[in-house]
Amino acid sequence: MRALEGRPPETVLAQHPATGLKCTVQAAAINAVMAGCLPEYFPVITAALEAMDEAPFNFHGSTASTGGSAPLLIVSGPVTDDIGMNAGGSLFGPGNRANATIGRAVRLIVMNVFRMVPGISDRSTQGHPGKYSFCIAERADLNPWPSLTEEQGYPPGVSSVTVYAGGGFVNVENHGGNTPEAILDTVADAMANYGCITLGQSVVVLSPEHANITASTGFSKTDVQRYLFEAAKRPVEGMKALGKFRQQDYDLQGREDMHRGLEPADILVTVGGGDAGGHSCFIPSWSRERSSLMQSKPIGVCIDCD
Amino acid sequence: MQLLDPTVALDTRACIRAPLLDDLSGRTIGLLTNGKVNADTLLTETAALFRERNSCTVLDLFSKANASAPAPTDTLAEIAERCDFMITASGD
Repeated sequence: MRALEGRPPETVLAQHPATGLKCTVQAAAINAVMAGCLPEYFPVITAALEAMDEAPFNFHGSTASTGGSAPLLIVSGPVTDDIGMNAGGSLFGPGNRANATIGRAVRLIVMNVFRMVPGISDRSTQGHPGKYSFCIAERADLNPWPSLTEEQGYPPGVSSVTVYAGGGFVNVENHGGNTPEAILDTVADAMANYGCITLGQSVVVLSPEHANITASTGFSKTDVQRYLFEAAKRPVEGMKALGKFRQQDYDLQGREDMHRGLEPADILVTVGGGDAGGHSCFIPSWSRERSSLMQSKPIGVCIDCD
Repeated sequence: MQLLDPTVALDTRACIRAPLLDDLSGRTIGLLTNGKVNADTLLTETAALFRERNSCTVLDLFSKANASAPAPTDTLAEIAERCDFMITASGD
């Protein structure tokens, strides 16, 4: 496991900002073995930990909060095929060792190394099933748009992992809509539900079927992000009626209605799932404000490092 | 067979409790809010009672970058420098 990492075992990958607990390569490797990882998975785990260690991710808040989030790992690039990750059918579910054990390793590290223990330091009101394991691959073969790795500006051949403090999975079903607007309005409705709408970021995983319909008339990914941002909104009166209006959020956004996020780029759009089925998903952010921002790191390579 | 511990040890820190104040009269209070709804109200109302009952001086409210982030070290150092005791509150 450690040989695949390459750095000395005492190398610190991440540090808890409140307690000072440090996750070394050695500690991460032990937990990865316990999770059932193969050695070739390990660079994904170390990259994810380094992404979670970036201050804007807010490791402490996102793992301690009543909000009950879990770090969602989205792996993009050739490593997904190299290590046999699942970007297709049931990519969020069981049946694939890489997806399951990489996510599980991160959870074990959160609990064993950083001591974010449910009921003690992890104060989740309800949590969600992703707190067992929450790791997917981006589907490349049926993605009509640039990959996340390309968007993030990494060189060809490089893979990346994006970490996102995510709430529970929201299924977005539409089997009858056959226009981009029909698909995206359905997604936006899920994003804007009163239980989810905040200034936080979003993750949208379009199924290949929905992505194909959406791209069929020339929608770029930027178009999709813009459309979703404009459509995922609630009126001020509605927010006030439910006790969810916050003046400072409204002022910060500066729009007539309350939209989800601050700008279209806050919506990560990717593709995943089986060949058939009108099922996409939206993953709401843990953060109701801007307390946690998704982070990405290249996997197994060092770019612009010291 | 070698057994490996999946946990890590916490670095030893030189943490000591601040000495208790023997009298609150005329003391200076620092307030640290987490920025959530009603936290400011809870803090300022509480501080007002100390002002009224103990003639305390209340500093302007200190805040954090966001509710769930640890308070910045510089902020804590400044509060410690300027007040005799601090009150913090979490609203929501």
